[in-house]
Amino acid sequence: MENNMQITDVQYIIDADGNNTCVQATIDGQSLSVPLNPANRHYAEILKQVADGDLTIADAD
Amino acid sequence: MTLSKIQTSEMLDTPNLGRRNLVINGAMQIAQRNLNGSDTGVTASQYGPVDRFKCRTHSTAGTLTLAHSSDAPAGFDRSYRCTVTTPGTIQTTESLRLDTLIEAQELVRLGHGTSDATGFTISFWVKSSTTGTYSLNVYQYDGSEQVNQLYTIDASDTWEYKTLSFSGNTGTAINYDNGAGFEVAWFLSSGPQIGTNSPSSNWAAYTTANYGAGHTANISAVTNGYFAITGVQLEVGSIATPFEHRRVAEELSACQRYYYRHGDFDDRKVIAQSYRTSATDVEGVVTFPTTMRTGPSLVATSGTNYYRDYWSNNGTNLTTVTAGELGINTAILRWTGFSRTAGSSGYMRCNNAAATVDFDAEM
Repeated sequence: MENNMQITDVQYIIDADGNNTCVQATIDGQSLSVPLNPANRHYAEILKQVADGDLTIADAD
Repeated sequence: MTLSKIQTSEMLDTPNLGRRNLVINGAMQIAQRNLNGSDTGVTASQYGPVDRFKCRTHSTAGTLTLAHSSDAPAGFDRSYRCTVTTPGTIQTTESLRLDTLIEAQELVRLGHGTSDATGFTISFWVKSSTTGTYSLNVYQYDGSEQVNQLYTIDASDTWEYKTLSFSGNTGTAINYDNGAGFEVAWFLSSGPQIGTNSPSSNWAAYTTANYGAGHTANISAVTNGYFAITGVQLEVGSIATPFEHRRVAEELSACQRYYYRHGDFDDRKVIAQSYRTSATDVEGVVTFPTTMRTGPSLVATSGTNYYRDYWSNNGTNLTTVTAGELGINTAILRWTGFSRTAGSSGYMRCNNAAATVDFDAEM
């Protein structure tokens, strides 16, 4: 039902302890911070595109 | 006083009973993204400007303006209006539609998936440049099933009131969770390979041939063609009762479960108290006014001097903001790329007319 999102430049964000907490991504031309929560529609689409082999998530800097 | 004087069977249909309407922002009062404004040059699907309603489109459907419009029928002040500024030729299985998504756990009262499934009725006001036959489609995410009905717009440029009743879905339950339950979609245009089946009031598996079946109007082909809706109500039962008006504060709070504009420039709103976490990072905690549906995405604009950090009689301009953590009640925002005295605290605010800090938990 949902149109495909155009997602690029996905990278993990870490907290002070070095744990992954979010991803930073460009989605449909907008820069978003996205939580690692599958109920979030942006993260759900990121997971789908990763599973399909169309996207990878870079490690945090 | 006998009990019958204060509680009668007739009261079950009394329109004064509250909380009937399962649609949030049906009167189009709330538009956090662009209050009283218009989004121009739209060629891709987007939420806004009206809260809880989305335009689903494709570049081939033409160029659109989406407005939080002051044109409305008596008893309403606002509508959600889609205008075609440059017409297009919609392709194959594409469609142009306005829709609203209803959270699954709000729909459990319908009893779907049981023999007691109740039907429901959708009522709304509609106005269009283009007369013809239109489809209203209801898609149930759990089970991927759908039902649709047709209605006609009989006169152009005239507000018309429509009511459509649907049977309950006895075959497939709606999960009690925070996912999408229904997509209620008003078709404006549909491609030649979509909705080719005959419309059916019975629940059936979603297919492109069933989706919006029988729709023939084609707004996207009309220069300055438009379609506007307001007074949208979805309620249990087969009778459309008068629209349930809710207070703006209630409606705003309900909308903020799905989208929350926290910071903008106009009211010089402070975004967060800030504190230094490293030589180059400053963070601030945001508490949401209502628990959000799920952890939201941070949607923030960026540009030179968009944000300003104040601390110890100093101010530092910043370009971007990202999130450190995003929960359902709070978020940690992070600004990087500058130095401040170790251990210092201050506050952060928007510093440019185009600066906005939003949280998006839409479905």
